[in-house]
Amino acid sequence: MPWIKEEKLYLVLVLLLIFSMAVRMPMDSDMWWHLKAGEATLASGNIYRTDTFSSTRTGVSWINHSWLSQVLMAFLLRVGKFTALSIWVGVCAVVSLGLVFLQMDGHPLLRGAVLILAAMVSSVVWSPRPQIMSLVLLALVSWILFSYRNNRKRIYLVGIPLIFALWGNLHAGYVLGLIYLGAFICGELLDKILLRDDKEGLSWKEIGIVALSTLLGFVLVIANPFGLAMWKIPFNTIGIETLQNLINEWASPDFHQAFQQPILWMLLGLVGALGISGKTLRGYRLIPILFFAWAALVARRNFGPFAIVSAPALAEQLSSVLGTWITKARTSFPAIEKIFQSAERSKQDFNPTVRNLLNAALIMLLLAVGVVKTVQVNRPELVSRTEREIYPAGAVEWFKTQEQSFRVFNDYNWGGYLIYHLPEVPVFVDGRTDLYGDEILNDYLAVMQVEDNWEEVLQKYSLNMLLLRKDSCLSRNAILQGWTVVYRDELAVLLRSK
Amino acid sequence: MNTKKIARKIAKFVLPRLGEVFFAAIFAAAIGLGPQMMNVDGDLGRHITLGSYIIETGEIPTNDIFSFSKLGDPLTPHEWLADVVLSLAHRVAGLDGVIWLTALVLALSFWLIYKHSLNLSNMSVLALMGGIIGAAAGSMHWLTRPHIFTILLTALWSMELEKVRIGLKKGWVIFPVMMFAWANLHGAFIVGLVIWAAVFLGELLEKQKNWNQLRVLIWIGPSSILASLLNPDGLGIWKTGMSFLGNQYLVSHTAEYLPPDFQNPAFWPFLAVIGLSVLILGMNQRRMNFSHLFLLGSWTAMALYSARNIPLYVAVSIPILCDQTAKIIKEGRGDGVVDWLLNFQDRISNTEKDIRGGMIGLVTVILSISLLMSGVRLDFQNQGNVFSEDVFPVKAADWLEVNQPQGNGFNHFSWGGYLLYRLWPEQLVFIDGQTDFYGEELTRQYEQVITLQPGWKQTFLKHEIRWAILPANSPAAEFLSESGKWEMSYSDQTAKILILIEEE
Repeated sequence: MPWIKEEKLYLVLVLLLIFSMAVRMPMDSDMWWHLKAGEATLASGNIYRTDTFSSTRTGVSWINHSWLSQVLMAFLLRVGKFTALSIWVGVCAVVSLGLVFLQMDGHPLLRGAVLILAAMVSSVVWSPRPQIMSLVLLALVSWILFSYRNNRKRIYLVGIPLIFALWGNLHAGYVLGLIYLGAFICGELLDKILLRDDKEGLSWKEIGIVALSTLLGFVLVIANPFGLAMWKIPFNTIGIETLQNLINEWASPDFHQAFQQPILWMLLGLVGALGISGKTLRGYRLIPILFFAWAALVARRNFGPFAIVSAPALAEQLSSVLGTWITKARTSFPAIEKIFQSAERSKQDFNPTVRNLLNAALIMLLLAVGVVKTVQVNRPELVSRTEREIYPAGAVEWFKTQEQSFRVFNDYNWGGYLIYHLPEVPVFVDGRTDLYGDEILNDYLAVMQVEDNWEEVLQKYSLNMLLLRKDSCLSRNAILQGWTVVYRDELAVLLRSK
Repeated sequence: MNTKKIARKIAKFVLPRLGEVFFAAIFAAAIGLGPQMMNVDGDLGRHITLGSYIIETGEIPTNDIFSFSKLGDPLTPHEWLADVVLSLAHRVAGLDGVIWLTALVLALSFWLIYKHSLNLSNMSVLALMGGIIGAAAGSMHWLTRPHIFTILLTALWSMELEKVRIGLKKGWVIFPVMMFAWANLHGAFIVGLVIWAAVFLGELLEKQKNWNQLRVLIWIGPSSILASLLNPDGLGIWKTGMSFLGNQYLVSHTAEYLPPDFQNPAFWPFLAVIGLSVLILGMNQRRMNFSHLFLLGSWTAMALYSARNIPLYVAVSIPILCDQTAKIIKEGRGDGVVDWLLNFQDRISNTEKDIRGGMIGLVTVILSISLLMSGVRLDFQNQGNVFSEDVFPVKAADWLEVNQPQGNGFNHFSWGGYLLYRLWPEQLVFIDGQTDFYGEELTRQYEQVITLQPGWKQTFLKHEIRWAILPANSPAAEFLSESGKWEMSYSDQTAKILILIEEE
């Protein structure tokens, strides 16, 4: 007897592979301010909700929608340094895609291949940020609905409101879950209208129960320290017009870049499989795909949710196509049938002990790869070197040698790093776009793009120091305008006002 | 009785068919968008100037005559015929003529898409809806440039190829003839061969093969490839196209090759077509034929990769989607709504049988050019078909015409074509929109200057730049004007002209 069934073996192997893909050096530009906010919450015992990090919004109260994730991140850093954060990301990726695997049809090998593609699509958003919790919870919601649809046991739906009560404290991405539920219900309704005498879909009563649990979930989102304000936060964030100019992940995908192309393959795979299979895709899968495809093409931060929602449909359709093709090939070509039969025989004849040993060795090997990668990417000297390549570590050291105080205009992507490493110097801007809003972000862009009034903007905020990339247009113009270089290295330049 | 007969005969010609209404609507929309079509893209000036040169000299230049940076270098004139056509329209009716021609080509293209959709679906209402959504999706690339001929030929080529595929057409000679025209009109003639490859491969994979059709399809490919070589540069046209597409830097730095930005509402209709594709395929209970599948898949990918492919995607995919939708609708026979829809379609088809049409389209086309030539503005914003002073350095070019600064002038990339239109042959440009000719090295040098990267001074020295015309709010213009070594000789809200007074 094999100690692990074939299906489980594939699942374990694929998930170990995904873990190795997801474990990375934690260097996201937003991670730093989340860590700092989490540390502040842990230190004081009160949720960090009034800004003290910036010069532009200091004292302003702020809806810190990710407070619980921040606490978790700060705790992980405290107990396990960067390694713990890396593992956290890896585990979240594994859990989210593991839940997707459970919703797939077809041969485990096909499911594994689709899951790897989904992992490649999602990998764009795998980083140590609260956002990754939304990926896990979306996968959990979709798995619950899938299980309910298959088993019709109401107990599954009890989880939905509870998930949203937690989600409202972890990340504002709870809205993705609500949209998924809405799309699921629309899909079931579509089937009810279009497919007469349909026995497979949910009954009206069952659709009503899903709608009720959705409503409860929506209500329970307010079970958080900010109450009703949590409902507003996704709209506040999306309403910021400058978002896509400033943050890559809010921009539309650029398929000229290879790392963004897997979603294109997935979309084409879906179109191809739907076209060839001739098998109708059920509404509960079709409608969420339409919404999340739209979301992913508008903003690349939605690649992950698209992958989670689409992978089961892709596996279902591919399984149908391949099943038909293989059956036809086996009946039409005796040689192919012989190959299949001989493969089946050799599988049965294979010594079970040897097979068990090989399976165990394979699992251990992939586990070892995951462990080695985790250790390697978090080597202190490598982390330190990478940090200096991406962030203005040298400029931070320069500030620490100074006694006087400065009001700094900083590069947006460095704001979080400065908050974490240089809390004594407040930043002009960082990744908390919902805190800054269009007014400050537009001022930031006016300066960075060297618009006519860039110096007036700096005067408006009484800023006397610029911390910029050394090769930026702004730094060259500022030097020409008489700003003095007080520090310069390979990455950054510090300029003091004339 | 006679009067009735005469009235019926007149009505037969005067009453329009759905396709004709669609043609007239697209034509009117394109005329209305005239200023927008010519001001979004910077190359029109170059096309008109090159076309004029060919008409006047009777010679197609195969060496550069427009820039001082690459003067005399070998050049592939892959759009020479389109440039001649655009220039002729310009000679007849100025920029109004160019807009009229563009509108006519676009209206014909979308009428062909409608016609192809109708052929496949046999439902004119569906074909009309497909045409409308296709026009909305493709309109983001309605521009006065040779690309419009590729849209037209893609629509025509797809329709004719489909006729071959389903056995309605037995001959293949029309295809090399089309390809001969295409290869001389626009560099994207390869599109036709991509479509042919998808159809041919698809038919090869089908279980039930019609060998007669396959034989015709086999002839189309090689004969069209040979026909594409009948151009002033022969095989060079292939080399230029391939080397440009293979250069990641140039492709990523050419605005029209960039992927669609779905944050921009102009791309939402295209997004809707993609959504509709998934929806329609998801609801379909029958397998698509492989040719259609390959066409839909490959063009979805190409349109997502480069926005300029969206109108071509529309030309190829809308008829296929109409076909699939018609199948879904017809399978729903028996349902109240579906039956009503099919009855409605039948009534329209019966009415259209008695209509010959043609009058409305003809009148629209003739009337519009007459009105435009008599000075009536037909664009939606009533600003006339002129180069916009907010987009192009119109007044700065006036200044240059009068003052004629000495030496080589560095120019903003997207103004190159306009400066040629206004100032050539007295002034040559540093660069213009023909990136496949200027190549990576010069484009990088341009980028170096415009973003003030280290080395920009060397670029100026190398090309002996004595003056520069730059966007008014560009950091480079600001930098040069503050440097003390350049004198601001002209400035308005769009452009600044700076002249070197002290060597860098």
